[in-house]
Amino acid sequence: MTGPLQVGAELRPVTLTVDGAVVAAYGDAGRDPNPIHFSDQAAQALGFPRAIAHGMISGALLSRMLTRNLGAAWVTAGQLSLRFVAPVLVGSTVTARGVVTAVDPLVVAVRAETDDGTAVIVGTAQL
Amino acid sequence: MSSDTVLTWELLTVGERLGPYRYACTADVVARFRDAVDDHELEELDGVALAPPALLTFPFLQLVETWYAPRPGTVHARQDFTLLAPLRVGADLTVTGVLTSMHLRRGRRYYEVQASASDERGVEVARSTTLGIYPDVDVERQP
Repeated sequence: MTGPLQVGAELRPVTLTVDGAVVAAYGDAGRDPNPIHFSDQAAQALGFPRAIAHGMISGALLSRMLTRNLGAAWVTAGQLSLRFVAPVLVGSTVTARGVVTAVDPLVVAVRAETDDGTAVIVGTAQL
Repeated sequence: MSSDTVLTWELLTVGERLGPYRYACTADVVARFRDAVDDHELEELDGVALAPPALLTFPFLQLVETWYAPRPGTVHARQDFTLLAPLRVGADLTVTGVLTSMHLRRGRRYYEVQASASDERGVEVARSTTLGIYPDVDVERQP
């Protein structure tokens, strides 16, 4: 955390560039062949400008941020609710952020955003 | 249902039970996941090697995909996790679920699956609710 565990405290953010290598490695590990992640043409057929990353790559980045900041308590008893509000185009850099909104129980407003500040995931984490 | 059956909207039935699906949380998969998303947080707890909780996305999505061949173009709309125990490297998970909802919103077709994963000791590791958007147009499958 960048401050004590109190309302308004910001968690230490984490950042990942979601390039083609990341998408390929994630898709391989998860056995996910969905072509919208690997083919611009397939993504364009659904109205995206080019291939989009798996949504849960950004979700994993949020979980990584929560583990980094909250430690064992998070992986043992965390609750995470994520809403995917915009696609992540392959090649984007995504930053996961969190702000404490309550402390008893702990509630963190989480957000994954691209470099231009566009939210791609919004949600809450609780302990 | 078999995984040779491509998922179609018409095949989905609210109340249908999915699984049990077995998923081995092997050291190889964990290492590849950690490298893919550059997550090397909390690799061990009390001497036990751990997987990142977000790896649970894989068995929960594969639960659906063992019932139906993956539907090209399906995307995630919402994902909820409740973590109940650390995910151990080497855990053999059994995942079961149920299709809880199908609905239209703003012209899009959504389906929701609620699921649970337990390890080989019978310890419930996590619960999941996944909301997916079913594509309106056909997308060619990759070879």
